[in-house]
Amino acid sequence: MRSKGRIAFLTIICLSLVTVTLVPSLLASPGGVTIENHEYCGVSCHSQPSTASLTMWASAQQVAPGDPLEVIVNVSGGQAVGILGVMIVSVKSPVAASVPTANGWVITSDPGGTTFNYYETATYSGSASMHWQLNAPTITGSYTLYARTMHGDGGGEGASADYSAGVAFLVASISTEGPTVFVTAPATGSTVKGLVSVEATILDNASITYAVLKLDGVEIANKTTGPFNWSLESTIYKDGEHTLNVTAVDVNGKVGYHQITITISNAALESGLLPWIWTMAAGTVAILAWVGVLMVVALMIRKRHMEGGLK
Amino acid sequence: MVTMAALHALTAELHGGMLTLAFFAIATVALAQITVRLKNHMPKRLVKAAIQVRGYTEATGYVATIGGLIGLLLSSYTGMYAWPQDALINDPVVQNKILLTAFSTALWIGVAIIRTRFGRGLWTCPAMATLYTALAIAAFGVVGLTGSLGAHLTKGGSLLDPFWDFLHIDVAETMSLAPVAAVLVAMGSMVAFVVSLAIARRYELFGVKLEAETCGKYFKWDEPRIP
Repeated sequence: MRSKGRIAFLTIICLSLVTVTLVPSLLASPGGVTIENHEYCGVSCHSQPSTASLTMWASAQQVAPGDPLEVIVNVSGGQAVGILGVMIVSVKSPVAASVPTANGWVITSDPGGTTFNYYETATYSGSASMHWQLNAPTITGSYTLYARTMHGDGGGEGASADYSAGVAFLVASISTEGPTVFVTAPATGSTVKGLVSVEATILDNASITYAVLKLDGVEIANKTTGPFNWSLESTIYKDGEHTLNVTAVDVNGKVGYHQITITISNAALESGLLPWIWTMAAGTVAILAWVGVLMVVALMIRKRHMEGGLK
Repeated sequence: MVTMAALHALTAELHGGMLTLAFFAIATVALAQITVRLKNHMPKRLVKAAIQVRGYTEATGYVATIGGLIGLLLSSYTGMYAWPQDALINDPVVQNKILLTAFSTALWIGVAIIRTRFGRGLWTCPAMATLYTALAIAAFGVVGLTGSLGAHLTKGGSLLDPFWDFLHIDVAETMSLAPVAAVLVAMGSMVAFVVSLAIARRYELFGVKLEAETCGKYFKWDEPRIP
C-alpha cells in the first residue's frame, strides 16, 4: 500500500514538472512570430513592467468616415532583445472590444503586410517602428487607439508597457456648408445627475465666431473660443427628458448644431442610495447571523458524532 | 505630507497581503489535515511534513486574519477620505466596492470569531474545520472581487471581467436589493440566529470545548515536533 502511495506521489510530482516545463513553451508563438488578432494583453498579460519606451501618432486625427490613415508605433529599449510584440487596441481591457476592428476600424495593412492588430518580430534589436494602415470607422464619433508592447524580461515572466495616453480620433465629415458640431459628452440618451460636463467638438473650414449651449431651447452659456466645454448644473432642472443643443456660428455667418436628448434624474439617483445602504447593512447582518447559525450546526453535527445520535 | 490616497494604497496592500497569507495558511492546514487523515495511504515523509507544516501555518493563519482585518478596517477608513465625496455617493463601482468590502469584512470577522472561540481545537472537529475553511475561501473570494472593482476604478477593467460577465453582473450598476427585500433577508437571518441560539442552549453547546480528546477519532491533532 505504501509503495503504491509513493508511486502516486512521484507520478504527481513528475506530471507537475512536465506541466510547468511544457505549458510556457506551448503558449509561446511558434517561430517567434504571431499573425492573428489579439485582445488587449493577448495570450499572456506579461505583467512585469517593461523598460521599453513607446511613442504613438497618427497621420490624421480628424478624418471623414471610412478615410484611410496611418498609425505609427515606435518602440525603443526593453529588458530583452529578440522577440517583441506590439498591438494596437481600442480599450485597455482584455475584452473582445479591445480589437480595433470590433469598433469599426478596418486594418488594411499591419507591419507584416497582413491585416491584424498584433505584430510580433523575432529580430528586435533595441528599436523598432511599426506602421498600421487603417480605414476609419464609418460611424461618426470620437474614437481612441492605444498601443501595447510585450516581450520577455530576461527571466521567467514577460514584460509589457502601454502607450496609455492613446491617440484620439474624431471621425466626421467636414462640411463646406458651415460648422459641423458634435456633442461628445454626455452621450445621447444618457441619464445624468449633479454637475454634468458638456463637451463639444466643432469642425469648420472657417473660424468659429461663437458657440452656444442650450437646454430645451434656452441659452445657458456661450463661448467664443475652444475648447467648447461647459459645466451644467442639472439639479436646478426638473427630472425627466431634456434636449441639449450646441449651436456654432462661423465668421461667414453659417450655422451648425448638434442636438441630443438626455434624462436628468437627480431624485432617482439619490433615492438609489437607500437600497444600497439597506443591502450593505442587511448583507452584513445576514453574513454574521449565518456564521453563528452554521457554528451551532457544526457543534450539533459533532454532538451527533460523539453521542451516536441526538438525545 | 503623506496623502490619504497614499495611505489608502498602503493599507490596501497591507490587508490584501495579510488576508492572502491567511487564506493560504488556512488552506494549507486543511490540506495537511486531509493528508494526516489519509496517512495510511500517504508516504510517511509526506505525513510527517504535513504535521510540521500544519504546526507553523495554523498560528500564521490566525495572526494574518487578525492583521488583515485591522488592515481592512484601516483601508476602509482611508478609502473614505481618499476618494472624492461625490464619487463615494454617486459612482456605482465605488458603491459596489464599499458593499463587497463590508461583506468581506463580515466574512473575515466570522473566520476570526471561530478561531478565537475554539482555538486550534477547531481542526479536531470536521464540521467546524469545514466551516472555517469554507468561510476563509468565501472571504478571500470576496476580497478578490473587491480588488477587481478597484482595477475597474483605476484601469477601467479587470482580469475577473469574464467572471462578472458569466454572472451577468454589470459592475457599473449598483448592486442592491429593494429595501423591503433587504429587511426581509436581515430579519430572516436574525430569526435563524435566535433559533440556533435556543438550540445551542437546549443542547448545552455554549460551553463546548473542541479538543483532540473529544473528536480524536476523526482528526487527531499531532503536535509538531520542532527540531
